[in-house]
Amino acid sequence: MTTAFRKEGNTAMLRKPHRCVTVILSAGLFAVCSQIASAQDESSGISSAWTSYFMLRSEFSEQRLDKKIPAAEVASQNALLDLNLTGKTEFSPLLRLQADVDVFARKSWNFKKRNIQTGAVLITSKGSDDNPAYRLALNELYVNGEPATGFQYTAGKKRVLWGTGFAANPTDLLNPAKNPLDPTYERRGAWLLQGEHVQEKQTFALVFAPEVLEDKNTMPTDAGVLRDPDGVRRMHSLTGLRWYSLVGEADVNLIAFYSDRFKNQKASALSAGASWSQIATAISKQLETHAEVLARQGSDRPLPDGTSRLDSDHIFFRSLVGMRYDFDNESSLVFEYLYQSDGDSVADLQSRLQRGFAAARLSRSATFAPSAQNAMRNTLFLNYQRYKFNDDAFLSWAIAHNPHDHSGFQGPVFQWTPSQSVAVTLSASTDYNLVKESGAEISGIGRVRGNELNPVKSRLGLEVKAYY
Amino acid sequence: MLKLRFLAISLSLAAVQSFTVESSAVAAEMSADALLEKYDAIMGPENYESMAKMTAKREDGTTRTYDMRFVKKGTEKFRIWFKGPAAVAGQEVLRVGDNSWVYLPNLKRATRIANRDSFQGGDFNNADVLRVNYKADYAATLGKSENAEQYLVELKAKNANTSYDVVKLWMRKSDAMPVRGEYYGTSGKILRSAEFSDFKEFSKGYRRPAKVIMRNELIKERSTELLMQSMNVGVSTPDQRFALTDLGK
Repeated sequence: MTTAFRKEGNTAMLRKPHRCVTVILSAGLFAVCSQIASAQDESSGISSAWTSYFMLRSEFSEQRLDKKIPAAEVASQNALLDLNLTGKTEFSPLLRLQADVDVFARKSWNFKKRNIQTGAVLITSKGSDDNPAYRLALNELYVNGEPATGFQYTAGKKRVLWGTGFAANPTDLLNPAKNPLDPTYERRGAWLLQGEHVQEKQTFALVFAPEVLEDKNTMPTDAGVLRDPDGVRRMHSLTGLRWYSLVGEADVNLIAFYSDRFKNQKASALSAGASWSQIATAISKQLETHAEVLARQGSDRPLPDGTSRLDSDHIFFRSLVGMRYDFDNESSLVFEYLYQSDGDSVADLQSRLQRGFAAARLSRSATFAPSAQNAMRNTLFLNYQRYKFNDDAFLSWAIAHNPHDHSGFQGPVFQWTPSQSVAVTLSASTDYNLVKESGAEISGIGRVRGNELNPVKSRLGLEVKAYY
Repeated sequence: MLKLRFLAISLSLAAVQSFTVESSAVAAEMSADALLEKYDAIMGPENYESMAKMTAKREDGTTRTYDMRFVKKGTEKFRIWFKGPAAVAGQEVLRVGDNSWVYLPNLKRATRIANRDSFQGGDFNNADVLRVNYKADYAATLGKSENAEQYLVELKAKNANTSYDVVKLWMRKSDAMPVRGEYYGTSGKILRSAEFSDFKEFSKGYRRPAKVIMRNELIKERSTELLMQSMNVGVSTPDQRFALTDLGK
């Protein structure tokens, strides 16, 4: 998992015509949403609640060019302008429109990449076309309603989350994965249709997503972004079934998914999962505990030698257990452990990297996509938060640790809100290695740790957000 | 980041439940238990829906204002929607019995939270907002009021799960309206004091103080004013509105 901080900008992209259509349509939707937002009419029963913010973000990144690892092209400096509109308009109980939409303008400088043949570092002022200057991001845009008491529908793009994990959600097969160092960074959902029967203490939900596909309509950043485990973008449909129940003082979810992603490869299309969350009052009423697990026959992560495990009879698990303790001084500590039975050990990583580097050299590729080895078998997450610090300040510190080679990423976030409409955020992250002689020994390169597969070594961001 | 600062905000709604009043006059002398029952009935009607504005004043003289919508059903179900300011709009809190959750729009999901007694640095308590049932939590006795027009009801916590160890309430003899409150910790030190005012008939036969100012007695410069802008009692809210899976919709 910790190896999976990939630069988003160097993966497959939307084609230009597609992108143009997306931007035009989205701009239209944004305008419509703005009009609706201002068209509150209480006499007709229409109610609206919309908010906007304007954000300016500067980001400085340090590329990983200290080893002969083929490095992807990464901008060292980014400036980002973001206009966000979030909210909902309720026309009637039958029809509500909800959205979370961003319009981005971006400028990047000082692109760096390593030539795989010569080892030279190339610096250019303008990068590939993978980072468009303007972008409209539909994080969420959907309609929902309640035709009959307790029977609800949702249609559109929405982030539906059934897991209880904070840094990661093994049971989430619908949405782009979040950044464990800042889980609020990823707000995109999937296009879907959902029907729910909501009762007082339980809910049944059926969801169908025709295209579970990581797209590029998101906040452009060089911050760590988790990608699909095999690093390849594929369209596939996903049908999910969820039963939620409040059992005593515990939230319990039972989940099942059917996917047609590997239907032609004799792979199991079914996966089953469960999640749970509870305040451990027997220990402390300030201690929240949670867990989630997903099981599936076979795995979409091939073996280190490249052999597919799609048709394996073996049952693979991805699970997360964690706890959050709320201290009396308005701070909290979250600890989570992620285990993926189809993840890599150090030996697996060594074998996989050896093959990957050889292939990259042969193809003269300037980049190296670590693909399926993106997941290590075990990952630890730690997040400390001090909120309402000195009234208007917030401080957090997050760590994503790979216990296999004792490497990882860590970084703080400091936010100051001088007024109710302005927030200034300073964030940083950098890699670390606790043990000198750790990681996979790769001939011709040396030791490579999991975090060194991320082309960004460290990052510093300054963000000013104004609400109105 | 998981902006749990939100909790401090929600927790600072403490005064919310303290403020319902019935218009019926209290003709005869009342017992402490009867007054406490009256207080609960006045301050926390079985079912209601309201809009409120809360303004927190801090040591440096600055203020923070929040607009909220409350819905309560019975004694076990309570839900809050934050309507403003923009930075917190969309956040929600739900309590069902001993279970509480917070919904944060930037996480797109609800997170289970603890019903904590107090928050250092904040002026209020979670339990004051999401769970107020003085009769269940406190034993009442009548004290000697310095004002002949007011009752003094002294409450002593029945268990350690309450926000305060001792609460003193001054209620008008004429109509049992609360006019003042003092809230003490286990050390006997006063932690908060409340002033109830602007008695208003929100609907026919239903009066309550529209404004409550909760003062932090530990940091004198801090106080919070809660203004009830509307309040509809007796509304029947479907149970589905108090389901975890309904948050964010």
